Amino acid sequence: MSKTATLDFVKKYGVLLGLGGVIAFFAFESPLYFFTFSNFVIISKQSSINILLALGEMFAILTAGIDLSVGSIAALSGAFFAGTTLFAGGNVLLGALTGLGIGAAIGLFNGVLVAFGKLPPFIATLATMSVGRGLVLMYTHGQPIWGLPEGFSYIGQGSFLGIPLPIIIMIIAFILVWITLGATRFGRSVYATGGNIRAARAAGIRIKSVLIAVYMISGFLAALGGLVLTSRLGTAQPNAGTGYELDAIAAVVLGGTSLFGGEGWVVGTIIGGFLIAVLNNGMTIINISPYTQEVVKGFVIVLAVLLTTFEKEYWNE
Amino acid sequence: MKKYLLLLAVMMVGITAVSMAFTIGLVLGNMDNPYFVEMANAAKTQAKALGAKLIVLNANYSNATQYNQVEDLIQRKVDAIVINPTDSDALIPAAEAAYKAGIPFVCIDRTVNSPNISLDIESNNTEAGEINAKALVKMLGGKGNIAVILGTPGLSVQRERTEGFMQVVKKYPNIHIVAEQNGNFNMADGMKAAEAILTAHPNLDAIYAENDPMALGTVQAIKEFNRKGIKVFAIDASPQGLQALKKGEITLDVGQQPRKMTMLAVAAADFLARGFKLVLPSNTKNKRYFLKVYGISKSNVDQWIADSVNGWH
Repeated sequence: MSKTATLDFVKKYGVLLGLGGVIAFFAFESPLYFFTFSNFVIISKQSSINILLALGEMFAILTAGIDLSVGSIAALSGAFFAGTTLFAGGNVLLGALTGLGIGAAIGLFNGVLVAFGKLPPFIATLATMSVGRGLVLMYTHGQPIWGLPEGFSYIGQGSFLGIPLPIIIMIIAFILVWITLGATRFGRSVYATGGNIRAARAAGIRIKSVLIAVYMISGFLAALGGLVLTSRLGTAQPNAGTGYELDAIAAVVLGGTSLFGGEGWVVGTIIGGFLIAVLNNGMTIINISPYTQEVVKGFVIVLAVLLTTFEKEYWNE
Repeated sequence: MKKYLLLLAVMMVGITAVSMAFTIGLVLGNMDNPYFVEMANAAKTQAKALGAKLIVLNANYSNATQYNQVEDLIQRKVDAIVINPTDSDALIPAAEAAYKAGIPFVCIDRTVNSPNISLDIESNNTEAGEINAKALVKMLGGKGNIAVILGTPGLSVQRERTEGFMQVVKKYPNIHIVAEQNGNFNMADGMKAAEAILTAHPNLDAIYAENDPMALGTVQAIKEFNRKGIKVFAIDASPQGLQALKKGEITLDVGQQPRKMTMLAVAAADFLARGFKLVLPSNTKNKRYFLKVYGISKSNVDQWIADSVNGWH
């Protein structure tokens, strides 16, 4: 195997090995409760929100950017989803469209700040994260929005052909993102922008449009995650989604996407998100102390990323 | 000339009267939990009644931010500060600074461990845990498997609610605590913890969640798993929690009095700013005064709601 092929192998399958190891450990510890089909359905549902956010986040990271506003966008979209549904007399569809529209609009704002304002993405989206959280509090007056109609819970709690809807939504989003990044001109432009922005510009890629589209996609997918979250809880909570941006970034990086842009694997992001959810669920099932859980999670992330970076440096020398 | 002197005197009295309108700074630990939002509402009502100006600040869970906000209020020379401290130790320097500046410093819902605070009014959180534990033991007949969903680790509220609960429960050897997990005082994390606990324990009789959002998350998880007969115990008595209680999804909710607490604190702050001395009730220890908490079940929920303002006491 050539150097690059080995590197690719480790980057791609390192996280998969990690996931396998973690699952094996928990299955050994709790064969009766952890290693059951129904528990994997639960884990998939729990991970779906983070994975939706992570898929959007991946676009930003692939262009060597970052989107810190996804948690706030999820909360704001969820609040508008609930608020509009109530306002429109129980029209869940109108509520959902409003929520998604809000997400895309904030993404557009991020994109304009980055592409035309020339703000570093970290700063632009840090500002939007704060603005978004403030808007949630203004809109909800710090109170949960509740008393929603039955249909409101369908996206987060319902199922279609026996498969829970959050999982279906996650799979559809995954397939669309996979096709977009892997088989379209736009997808190649995203990789090229992150890989070498000058070369991309020289090759005639319209960087500004790419960046705007990237942040809009991130905002839209964060909003979708927000809808699933809000519907799953059956109420919009003003502090929903706090810190979700960090879990989303962790999932993307665990999946082998480079924070410097230009390389990354969509399937890796899914596995990364699943790994985080398995850790949370498994440690809770075998009743590990909540204090210890945080430490373990931190070390798993460091370990997984060290593996890929060490390998990379070794092979690059 | 005399006429002008008189006019001047009248003007001076007028100016003094206007400047007697006190400014009170209210520094809340967060404003995304309805319990604390109601504190802001109650403070506004009380300040208006007292003719005082109110400045409301939100520290957003950060000790450092809250310390800065207290410093800003001192700079601005407010007449009194009412604070819901984010931490009992981290805000000691803030209390000292207010003391040095001669500004009354009244704590609500959590104290600051300094002898220089003016007054502290808080809920008896230990009692809230005890009430839940006693009701739980009684309903389960002294035996069963239970799980606890804890609030954010490191907060005194979480410690006290756990201690109060455990003190009672550990006297009953046939009550087994099969899981203790963290729900961070929010609904999404509470639901996640409950899902894992329900997966791991098919024979569960009751869950004690240390606040309403986590209890509501637990209720969602129980519905999702379609499990019957699991009793849920909670603290807060928020409007949404009481709704779940009425439907029988929550068995017992312990009610606190955030409105009363805040109104007493704002009034005390105003009186202190005017230079009055407070006569504290006899059960006040080290300037800490505890408000009673109440167990609310299906039998008395309607009365509790009828007596409330905006759903709170």
